[in-house]
Order: sequence, then structure tokens, then C-alpha cells
Amino acid sequence: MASRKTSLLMALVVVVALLLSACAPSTETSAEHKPGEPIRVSGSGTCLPLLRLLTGAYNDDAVEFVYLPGLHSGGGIKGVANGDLEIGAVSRELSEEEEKLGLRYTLLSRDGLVIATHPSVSLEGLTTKQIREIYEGNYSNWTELGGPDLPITILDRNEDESAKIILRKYVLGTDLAITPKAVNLYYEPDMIEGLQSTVGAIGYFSLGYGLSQDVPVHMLKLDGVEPTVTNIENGTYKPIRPLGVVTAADAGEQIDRFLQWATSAKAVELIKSEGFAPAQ
Amino acid sequence: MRPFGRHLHNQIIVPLVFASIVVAVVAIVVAVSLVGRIIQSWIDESVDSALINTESRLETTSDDLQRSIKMAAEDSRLVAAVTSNDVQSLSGVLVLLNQSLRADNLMLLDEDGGVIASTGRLQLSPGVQPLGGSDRDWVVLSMSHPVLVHLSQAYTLTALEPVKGPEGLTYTLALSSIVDDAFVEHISEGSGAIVGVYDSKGTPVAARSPRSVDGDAAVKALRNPGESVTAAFAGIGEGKTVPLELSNETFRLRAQTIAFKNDPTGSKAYLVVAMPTTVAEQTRRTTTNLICMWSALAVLILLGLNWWVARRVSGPLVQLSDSVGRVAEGDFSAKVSFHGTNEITHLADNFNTMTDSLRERSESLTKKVLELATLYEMSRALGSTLDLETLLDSVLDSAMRIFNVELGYVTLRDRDTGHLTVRSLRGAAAARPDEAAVRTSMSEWVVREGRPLIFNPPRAGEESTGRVDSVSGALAALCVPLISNDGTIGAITVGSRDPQHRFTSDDVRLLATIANHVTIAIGNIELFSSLQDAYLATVRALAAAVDAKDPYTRGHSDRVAQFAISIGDSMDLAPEQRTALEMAAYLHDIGKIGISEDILLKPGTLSDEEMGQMRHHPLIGANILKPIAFPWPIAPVVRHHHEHYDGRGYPAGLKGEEIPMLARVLTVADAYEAMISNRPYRRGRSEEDAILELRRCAGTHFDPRVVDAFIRVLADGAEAAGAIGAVHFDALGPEEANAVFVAVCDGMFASFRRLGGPRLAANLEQDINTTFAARDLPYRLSAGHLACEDVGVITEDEQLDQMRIAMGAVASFIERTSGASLVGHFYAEAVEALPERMRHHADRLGLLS
Repeated sequence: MASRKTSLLMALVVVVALLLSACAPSTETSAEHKPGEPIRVSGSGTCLPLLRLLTGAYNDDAVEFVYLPGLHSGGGIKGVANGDLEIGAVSRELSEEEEKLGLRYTLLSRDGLVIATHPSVSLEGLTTKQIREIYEGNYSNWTELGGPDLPITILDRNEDESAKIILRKYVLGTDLAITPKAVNLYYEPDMIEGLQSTVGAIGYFSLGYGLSQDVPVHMLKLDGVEPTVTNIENGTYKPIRPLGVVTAADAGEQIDRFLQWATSAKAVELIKSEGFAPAQ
Repeated sequence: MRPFGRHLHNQIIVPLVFASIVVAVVAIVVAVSLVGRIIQSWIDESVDSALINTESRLETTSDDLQRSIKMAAEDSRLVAAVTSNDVQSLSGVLVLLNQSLRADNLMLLDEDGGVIASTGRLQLSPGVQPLGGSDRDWVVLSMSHPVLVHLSQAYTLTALEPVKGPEGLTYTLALSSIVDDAFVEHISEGSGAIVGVYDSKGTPVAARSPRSVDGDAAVKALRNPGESVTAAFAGIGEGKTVPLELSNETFRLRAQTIAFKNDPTGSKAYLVVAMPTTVAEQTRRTTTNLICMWSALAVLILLGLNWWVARRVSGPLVQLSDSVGRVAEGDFSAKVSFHGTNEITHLADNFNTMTDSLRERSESLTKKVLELATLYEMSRALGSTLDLETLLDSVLDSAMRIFNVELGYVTLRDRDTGHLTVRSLRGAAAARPDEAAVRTSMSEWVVREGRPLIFNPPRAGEESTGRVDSVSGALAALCVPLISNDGTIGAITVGSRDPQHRFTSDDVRLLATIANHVTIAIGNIELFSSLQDAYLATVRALAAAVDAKDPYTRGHSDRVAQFAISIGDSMDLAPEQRTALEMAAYLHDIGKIGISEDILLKPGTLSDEEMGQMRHHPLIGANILKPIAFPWPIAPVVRHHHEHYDGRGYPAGLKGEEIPMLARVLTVADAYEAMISNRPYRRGRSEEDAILELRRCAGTHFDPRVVDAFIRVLADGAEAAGAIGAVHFDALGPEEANAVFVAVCDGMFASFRRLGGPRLAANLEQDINTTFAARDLPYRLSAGHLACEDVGVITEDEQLDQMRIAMGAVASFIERTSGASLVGHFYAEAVEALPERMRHHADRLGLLS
């Protein structure tokens, strides 16, 4: 009896599934955005502040942007590929697999990665080597680096985070073993919060965010180079990451027009004024 | 106008209005104060509930904190970091932990209360002792509840949890929520109140109003506590709510101590909750206004209702009172009328019935009084006259007045003929209804049957019988018989030409009463008449006796009486005196019965002795007459008719006015007649001589005034006699002459009837009619009325002759029955009754020669 019941249920499920697929075929075949529907935005937490800035300044009443919770860069790309998002924020370069998805990538800005401490740490700057040794766990107190008598609290991000990838690329090196004393924080706001509230803490985050939000942390010179937009533009400040968006190849007129505007000179000025470096 | 308070209407209204106003005012006061109290308690309860709500949220927050710290203390990373005693690791773990706890501050303290590691808003560096040195005793204790404590510069809600450190040390993990405005907002969310938190010393820590309430002013007041906050603190024990008056708003404040169980520090803080009263005040104002408005409306409605009810009650009473007043003044037509079926209309109906009844009684009383008055008047009239016609006229007038009708007549049955004749008639068209009319009248029936008869005209709608009384022409008539002991003697009839008039059985009764009176009165008159007849017969018998004794002086008494009456009339004597004079004149020589016939009949002069005897005759006459109770004083006249005016007469020798007046008149008449009449022994003197003699003796023998009167009478008579020959009709037509003749004859018959009574008059009438027929005169007497028969064309002289002959016949018959003197008298009376012109013609016609 039971087996007969089960087979009946399965047949029913199959029929329902067939019916459902017949009813909703469009998502698979075409990702084109239809005018009048809101444009869904999500992706890298680092990039979203910039997008918010741009969508806020973009004046077209016909277009409505909806921000979904942060998904990291990869999540944003997947979302666009699945048709769950119209715009995916990306704060790193696309991987080879991601390139194969056939999505359109638009670079909007280059964001500097700033290394910062709690304001209680009075050092002006650190060298790449010093930073490597701190993250290696070679220092336990800022006095060892000529700072105040405070223990060094090391704040870190996960390896797959764009910020960590960039930091490894430009400062730590790919194979540096991070000390277990360091704590990994999942989100950039957590990093910034930790830097603000913990005496003697050190960490890294988006320069654009730091400047635009005027975060009360102490930004360190890297090898004597001050983290400024100018220094990013002139190439003297190295740790930078590209901030861009992925959209479907045939995203539709509205999104095309927005992206066209977001890369215009006017938008560049806006980007610069808020602490981000422009794309070019 | 009565004073305001005396009106029933106002007496009803005023107390009710007063009462309703008082009730309304009391109701307003009570309701308003009640509303005020309810609102007050509502606010206070709101404050309480806000306080409880806030406390409960604070408790929840504490519990969350406590839960969080327990969770954190058991975190393996922390335990590992603490055990390793690596500050860097610890710090990192705290950062990581606080990422998930989201508390304001998380730190680890060593046994001395010094900070080992810390993350969060307190920004504490390692080594700092945020709790202060003296508090380290309780730092290491495990507590079931967070405490409110100053950490560094901040006031916090801090949960503490012991953590096992290395080498048997016990560290303390401290998780804090900073009690700032955001915290207050969090714990006061949803209470709708402004909440302030104060530390144990009463210093304000934080204050915040919820987003839904605009309480910035109150927040400011809570942050800078004034008297109100102090009062609220003072009222914590009693749970009192105090007002907080701000420039544009009023709040209610209540304070509460926050003290956690198992708090070893015994620390406490204060919570102050402020609730705006704006809405409540508005509610109270609106409610109060509504109450006042409705009360006013209710009073107004009550006022209107009162007025209406008072009108309903007092209006009829006023009307009744007015009507009663009118009834009291005699106006029985006063009526009241109300609509409805209540007691008042019942009263009005009874009142109307009462006035109707009163009016009926009053009217019937008035009628009775009038009847009585008229009857009284009539009975006086009945007693005061002995003249039948006057009596009947008077009775008829009274009866008509009583019945308020315009027609009436009386018929009487002639004793001899048995025919009914109309004796008095009022309001009829014909002055003299003919016999045929009388025979067919109601009276005829009534007299025949001896029963009353009512004839009322048919009412509207009924067929008219067309019967109308043949005598009066009345449409409504009432006739009752006059019944005496001898049977029905006649009938009295009253009637009206008004077809609406109705006679009733009451009217029959009343008219019958009148008829009874009339019957009695008629009987009296007849009695009196026959009495007078008897007297006259007696007197005439006596006079005849005297005449029989002295044949020479036959007719003397009659003639003297005639002269005396003439004088009396000329002197305007009263009727009684006139009758007395006449009687005395007839009887003046009755004393001669007692004188010897030798002396009486002796021709020639009498001797002194004879004369002496002769002079006794007035006394003898007086003595004869004395026993007879004449109604008039005759005897003195007879006694003194030989007295002289100068006192030289006999028998008493009275002088001037001492002599009775009638005696003086009789003296003159007696002397004159004696002078002019023939005697066997001498021839009578001429009238002129006699008058001269009277003149001569006036003042000595005779009363000069009497002589003057007599001479005047004689002169008039002479003039009248002299004019007879020249009589002509002149402007007088035969019809008029005839009318004068008829009128004079009728007048004489009337006088005769009055004096001689109906029986005598009827006899006379019969005799005269016989004579008229024998002499072929064209006249006929009927019921005292002379009727002229048509004789064709005759000359005036013939007519005059006929009239004179007829008159002579009438006069002779009257003379035969009642004496010559009465003929002249009757004639004079008849002429006197005529109108001026007819009297003149009567004089000129010289009907009575």
C-alpha cells in the first residue's frame, strides 16, 4: 500500500513540475529587464556604498533601484547570472569561470585599501614589512613598533574577501601565514566597527568608504605613502581594487543608460569628491 | 393684573425652572469633576502603565544582557584565549564576540578590576580600572542580574560574569549597555511617555521622548530637573503623580526607583516618566463643553416642557375662573370649552352643564317674578276700578305683557242674549270684529266647552292647517274661559302673529289664574252696579213719595237735581261729591213728608207758625235719611239746604263756609227752580228775573261763587239754545254729522250702562230699538252701539230731523228710567268725550233740544 501511495505522489509532483515549467519559461531564456520593474542591486559590500552614491545621484524617476542584502562579489555575479539581480556589485576582478558566464562587466571606480588602527595608536605609518610581521604575529605590543603601550589586536578578513585578496596581492604576499591571534571578520562594517571600538586594534578596509563616511580611525601611511585619491590616481599608492558592476549582456535600455551615465565625466567627479578613485 | 408670583402658571414654572437649573448645575459640577477625576486617573494610569512598560523593557534588556554575557563567557574561543592569557588573542576574541553580541561594550577585567582587554564604545585601555578601586570586591562575583553602574565616564547597565583565568585567577567579563538617550528611547519605546533616567544621586543621565510624542520641552525639563522632578522623587513612596507645568503644555510626572534583585552593590537608579496631558486636557475640555451644552439644552427643553404643561394646567383654570366670575356676576351664558378627554375637560363639561342649569332656573325664576309682578299689578288694577272696560283693557295689557305677545281680546257672554261680544281688543286689525268672526273664534268654542284651548302653528316641515283665530288673526293663540259660579261668562284670548311662538301648559295655567281674577273682578263690578241700581231706585222711590205729597211741585226734585248737577259740573266737583249732590237734590225735600198736607198744599202765604213747621222739613229730611247708610254724606246737605250765606237761614243758621258746600249749591238750585216754576198760586218768573234775583241775593242768601257758576251755566245753556235755529252742517258732511250723532249716542249709552248696569242698558236698548222701528228711523242699537242703516239719499234737514227725533226718543227713554237730569248729564258727558272738532259740531247740531 505504502509503495503505491508513494508512486502516486511522485507522479503528481512530476505533473506539477511540468506545469510550472511550462508556465514560467522566460527567466531562463531572456534576462532582459522590463521597464517599470525595479532594478535589483546587490553584491560586494565594499562596492555597494559607491553604487548607492551613484544611484542616489542618478535622476531618472522612471528607474527604481532596490538594494538587496550584501552577498560579496561572487554572490552578486551569481545573482545576475541567475537572473535574480539586474546589477551585481563586484569589488574584484572576475575569475576565469566567472568570465565564462558571458556577463557584461563595467568598471566604475578604483578603491584604495587603507590600513588603519584605533586612534589610540599614534604611529604615522607602517612599512609593508612591519605590516607583514604584525599579521605574522611577531609583535604583541605597539611599543615594539615605537607606539603606545597597548597590545596589538589584529583584525583580519577571510581569504576569499576582495580586501584580503588585494592586501595579500600588494602587502602580505600570497603565502604569508597569518597569526592565530588575528580574528577574521565577515563584513567590512564589522572591521570598521572593530577598529573604532578596540584600543590598539589594526585592520584594513575601503579607503572610499573611510573617506566618504569620515570613519574615526587612524589611517596609516603605507611605506610612507599617504592613502589619498590623488596618490591612487598617480599610482603611488598601490593597494587598490576595481569597483564595478556586472549586468546581463542584454540588460535592457534602462540599465544601459544608467551605466553610460555612471561612467560619464560628471559621475567621475562625484566619485572623486567622495573619496573613491575614478576608473581611469 | 396680579403680581407675577400669584399666577398658577408662574407658580408651576418658576420652581420647576429653578429646580431644573439647580439640577443642571449640580449635574454639570458633578459630571465635570467626575470627568476631571477620570481623566486625571486615566493619565495617572497611563503614567503608571508607561512606567511599568518601561521597567519591563528595562528588565527585558537586562535579561538579554545577562543571557548574552553567559553565552559569551562560555564561548570556547574566549575560554581558550583567557586560559592562554594572551592579551592579543583575548582582544581579538572580544572584538569577534561583540560582533555578534552587538553590545555597547565588552571587556574582561582582572581580579583587581583592571581592564585586560576591551572593545566597544567605552574605549577602555588595558590596565584602567573603570569600576573604581573600592568596588573590586563584587567584581568577581557571579551575579544573576546586571547592575547600573558608572563605568569610566559613562553610566551603564552592565552584566558581569566570572571567567576562569590562568593560574586559578578569576577574571570578570563585563558586558555593558551605555545608558544614553538611545538606550532610554529603546526602553521607553511604545509607552508613549517621555522617560528620564537618573542615577543614585538623582543626577540626570539620559532622557528621551518616543518618536510618536513631541516632548522636547519635557525632555529638557527632565534633563535639568526642577521642582516638579524633585516632587516626583519625593512622591515615589506614595506612588504619587505630580504635574509638570511647561510654557505651552502640562505633563504628569511619576518617578520610580530602579533596584535590581540580588544587586550586591545595592545600587539604585531612578526612572521618571512624563506623560503629556494635552490629549486628556482636550478630552476633558470637550467633554465638559459637551456636558454643559447638553445640560443647557436639557434645561431649555425642560423649560419648554414646563411652560407647555403649566399652560395646559393653568390655561383652563384661568378660563374657568373667569367664567365662574362671570357667572357670579349673573352672566349665565359663560361657557368654557377645552379639547381632550382629561379631568379638566370633564370639569369644563360639568361647569357648562351647571351654567346651563343655572341659566334655565334663572330665566324661569325671572319669568315667574315677572308673572308675579304683573299679577300683583293686575290684581291692584282689578281692585282699583269698577269700570268693566278699563278693567278688561288693563287685564289684557298685563296678560299680553306676561306672555310677550301682541294680540289679545276678551269676550263676554251677554246675559240676556247669550251672544258673545268682544269687550276689549288689542292689536287686532279690525277695531270691531263682526259677530260672524266672534262666532267662529276660539272663544266661542272655549266658552261653549268651558275648557282652555291652545292653538300653536305647525312647526317647520309640518303641514299648515291654516287655522287662524278669526278675531285677532293670531297664528298662535291661547284661550281660557272665564268661569264664575253662574257658569262660563266669557273668555280671554292672547295670541301672536309670530309663527314661531308656542304656548305651553304653564301658559294655560297662568292665563287661567288671570281669568279667575278677572271673573271675580267682573262679578264685583256687576255687584257694585246692581247696588247702585238699588240705591237709585230707592232714591227715586223716596223722591216719588215726596212728589206724591205735593203735586204742585211735581218734578221739582228732578229739576233741582238737574240744576245742581249743572252747577256741580261747572264747579268741577269730584265724582263722589257730584253723586252725593245729585242724591241730595232728589231727596232734599223729603222732610216734607213730615209736614202737614194742609200747610204744604195751602195756597197763599203761610202763617208764622205754619212757616215754622215748614222750616222743620230740612231737619225732618235729615232725620229720615240718617239711618240710611248712604255711601255719600247726603243727610247734612239735606239738613242745611235752607241755610243762608249770611247766617240768617235755618235750621242751624250756619254762615258762609260753615254751611256744607253741597248744601250751598243745592240752595241756589232749589231757589232758582222755585223761582221759575209755576205754582198753583202764582206764575213762575222768567229766567232773567230769576237770575237777577240770584244776583241780588248773592252774598246774603247765596254763596256768590255758586251763583256765579250757576249764571255761567245758564248763560251757556242760553247761548246753546239760541244757536239751535241757525244750525247747519256748514262744512260738516252728512257722514260726519252721522258720526257725531253715533258717537254722542254711544257715549250716552255707555254712561247709562255704567250707571244703570248692563241689565237696564239691555232693556233700554230693546225699548229704543222698538221705538226706532215704530218711527221708521234708520238706526239700530246693538250692544251699546248705534248702527246707521243705509236709507238712501235724504236731505240734510231730513237727516237732522231724524237725528233729533232719535235723540229725543233716546233722551225720553233715559229720562224715563233714570230721571231728566241724567239725560243732560249723559249727553254732556258724551259730548265731552268727543274730540274738539266733533264736540263743536255736536254743540252746533243741537241734537238734544
